Amino acid sequence: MELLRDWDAWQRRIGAVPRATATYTTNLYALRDQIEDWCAAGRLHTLSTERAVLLLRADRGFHRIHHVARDLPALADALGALPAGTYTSDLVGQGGQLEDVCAAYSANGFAVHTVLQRMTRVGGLGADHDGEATVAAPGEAAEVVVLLERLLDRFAEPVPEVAALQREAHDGRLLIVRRDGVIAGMLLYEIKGRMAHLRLWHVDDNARGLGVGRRLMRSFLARCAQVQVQRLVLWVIGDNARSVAIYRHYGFVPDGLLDRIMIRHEGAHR
Amino acid sequence: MSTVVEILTQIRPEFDFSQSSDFFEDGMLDSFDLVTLVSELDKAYGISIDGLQIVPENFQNVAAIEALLSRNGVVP
Repeated sequence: MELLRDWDAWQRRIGAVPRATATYTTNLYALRDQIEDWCAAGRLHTLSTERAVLLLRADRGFHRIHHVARDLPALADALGALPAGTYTSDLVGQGGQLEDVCAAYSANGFAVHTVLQRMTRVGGLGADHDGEATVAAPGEAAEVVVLLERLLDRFAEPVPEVAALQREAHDGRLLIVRRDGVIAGMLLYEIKGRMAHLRLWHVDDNARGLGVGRRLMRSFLARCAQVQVQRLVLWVIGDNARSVAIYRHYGFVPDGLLDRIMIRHEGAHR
Repeated sequence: MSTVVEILTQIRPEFDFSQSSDFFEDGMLDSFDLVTLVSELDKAYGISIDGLQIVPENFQNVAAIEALLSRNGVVP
């Protein structure tokens, strides 16, 4: 494995992977800015073979894999060259094509951890009452991280770093609701042009049923309406019927895109 | 053969792609859509867009996509 220092180095790695067939496969959806941020943080390593390159992003005690491979056998070969460790990979797609990529991972000791489905709401938003959630201050980010570390499955939903969440708070994209002085729920979003991405929306277990989630969601929707967002997207754990039903209540419907999260634990292979 | 705008509209029918100069900044395409778009362009024009060319700059508006197709031997 080799530390990846910058975007140009990544371009050289990708350029070495031949893309002459329709079997080319990748799960790298990060855009340049994101990759440059990861490089700057020293979190990226690469593992290259003749026909594939794996981008390994360090998370909390494991690595997330992004692959670029000429074809599925090349992907399987590269995965077979991974050193011992715990790895996850988000495989996004639909139908049989996704099954084939999963099979390449399964052949190298990976198993399905969970499946996320994307839900989308399309169309303009009407004027609605703001839920009056509070825009978090940067100094509140650490408390939000503590809440998320308690609530999230770290393999399925990355817990943001405090510094990153502080930046989101500074930019007004982190909403919170407090009850008795304690953060009872949070919502993190991103708006780009006419698209909004609901990245995280969580209510503490002991605050459920008290309208905390509704206040957060209505504040988020009001902010989307203010800037005339036309498309809202989110990812939800596919078998979480309760969450899916709540999102449907707010007008989101599954759009067919799935994210199958594969995992290989330390020592589970070889 | 479908035009570039027709292919884009198949992917995101809710947007008017002829009115934007930067699909990503305007929130009309995201990185998942980019992968779908590359696949659809490959199929529609019988080409294989090189991995090095799969950067947002080459897909940010209709003119950029048409220029990319030209570099791959296609006259859109």
